[in-house]
Amino acid sequence: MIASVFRAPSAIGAVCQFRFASVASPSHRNPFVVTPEAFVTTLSDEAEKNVAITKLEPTIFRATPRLDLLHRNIVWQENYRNLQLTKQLSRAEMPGGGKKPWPQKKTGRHHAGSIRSPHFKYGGFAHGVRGPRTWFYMLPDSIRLKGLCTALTIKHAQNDLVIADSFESLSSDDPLFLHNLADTRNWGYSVLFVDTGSDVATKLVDAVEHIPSFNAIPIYGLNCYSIMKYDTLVLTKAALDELQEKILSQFQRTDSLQKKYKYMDYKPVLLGEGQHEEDPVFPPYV
Amino acid sequence: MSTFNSNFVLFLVLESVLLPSDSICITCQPFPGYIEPVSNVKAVIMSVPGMSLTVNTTTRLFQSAISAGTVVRGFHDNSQVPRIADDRMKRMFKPTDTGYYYRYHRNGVDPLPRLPDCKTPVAKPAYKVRKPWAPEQAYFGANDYIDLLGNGKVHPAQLQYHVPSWLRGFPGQHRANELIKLIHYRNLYKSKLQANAPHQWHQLCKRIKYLSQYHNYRKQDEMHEERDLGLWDQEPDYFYKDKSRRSYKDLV
Repeated sequence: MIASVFRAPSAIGAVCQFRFASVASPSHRNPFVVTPEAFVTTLSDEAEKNVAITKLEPTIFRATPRLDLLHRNIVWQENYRNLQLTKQLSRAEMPGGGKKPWPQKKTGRHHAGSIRSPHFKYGGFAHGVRGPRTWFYMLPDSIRLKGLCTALTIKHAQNDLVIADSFESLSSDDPLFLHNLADTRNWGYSVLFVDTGSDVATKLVDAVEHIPSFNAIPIYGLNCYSIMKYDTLVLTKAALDELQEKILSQFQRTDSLQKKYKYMDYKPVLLGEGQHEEDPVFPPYV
Repeated sequence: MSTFNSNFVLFLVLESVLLPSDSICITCQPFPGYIEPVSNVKAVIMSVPGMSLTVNTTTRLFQSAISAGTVVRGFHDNSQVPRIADDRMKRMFKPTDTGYYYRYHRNGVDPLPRLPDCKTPVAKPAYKVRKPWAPEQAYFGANDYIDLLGNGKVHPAQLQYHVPSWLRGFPGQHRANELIKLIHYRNLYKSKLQANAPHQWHQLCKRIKYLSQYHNYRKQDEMHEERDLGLWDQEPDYFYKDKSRRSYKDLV
């Protein structure tokens, strides 16, 4: 997990009276838009105890469920990291095979120019799988954001979104306690705890460590695949606010959301980061 | 919903058990005119003697051969189109009946037609044991949206630690084919190859030359979107009048 170097800065809207007024969409003034709401619960007891009600951002938690975009996101997540290292050598790369094995005519055998031709037993491959191959591509930001909003909408609509006031309120670090808590509150087999940064409350970490289907991630680790994989999503209030702020600021940013991924933009960074992996003398295999 | 007495219900249940249902495999060779029974009987089995039991029959029961239409075996290859096959016997004597039944308006999926009493098992890939909650699977997809949800300084292309550094973030096969990949590799490692691995350099040059010939002679303009890949700078060729530099000798 990436260290807390990438922790988000403290609340931008601290000065403003209205919570993140700079990025809040004007839908709170629109009478035709339903504002979704959610309870804020405490994790101190096994029984469900609701402390407050928050309003959620409708563009994120009550967006039109674009299942096609969600599908594209999940397919992208499954495929864009794939790497194939198989390489089938061609006839030129196989050892030997420079000489004509027998004369063209009069031998009765078929014409052969080289021992390593594809129709020979130990010959090379004509159109084989070639070298390290990737399936890397990037979806445009608009589609990725819409996929996230769809996944969050689904979770909220199906009552699988839980907002906790803070993970510090968890009273014991016993994994059995957390398991019983989840059982009482009907959270499901798998629960994903989302906190603001990678520094999570100790008790939660200790409890979650022993349950394989309960996991904790920071906000920047959230993704469509995980949201759909886990039965329940448990967000802290702070994490929820930060998530909404981030997604809204992305929707409202000045540069285009359709920006194409160009390798040229990242080439110096990527090659610079990979310099220490290279052998000083020999080039990598291709 | 219809009510029957207990004896009749038992009879129904037996019928539905004994008769071949829709999902049974078609290994048995039926005689021509054989009709598949449409028996989706959902029987609530409560054997309380003396009480009339209710049976919920959602679809029609077993049809008699006389009343229903015949299910025809199809797919006879009468096309006389020459099929590519290894040997002459396969070309000459094609199996005309592959044993396929057209299933119109039926539920379920048929297994593929098989020869009766065939000893060779169906080829299947080996069973993969999946562990959905092992750490690497539980956190699958984490940090894929880090450029949107993080502070914007990291891009998921930078997180591809398993990919060789020269291929990290490089568009995949569907956009950048092998020729482009090798040209990119050559741009990066030309000096190292020429100095320390001359044999690999020679093989690389041969492969690039072969691929460029292959594409230019055999393919239409596949790579007209090459400029959209964003791999290289689109600089004008200042020396187009210089006859000593030829375009077919691709100089790096």
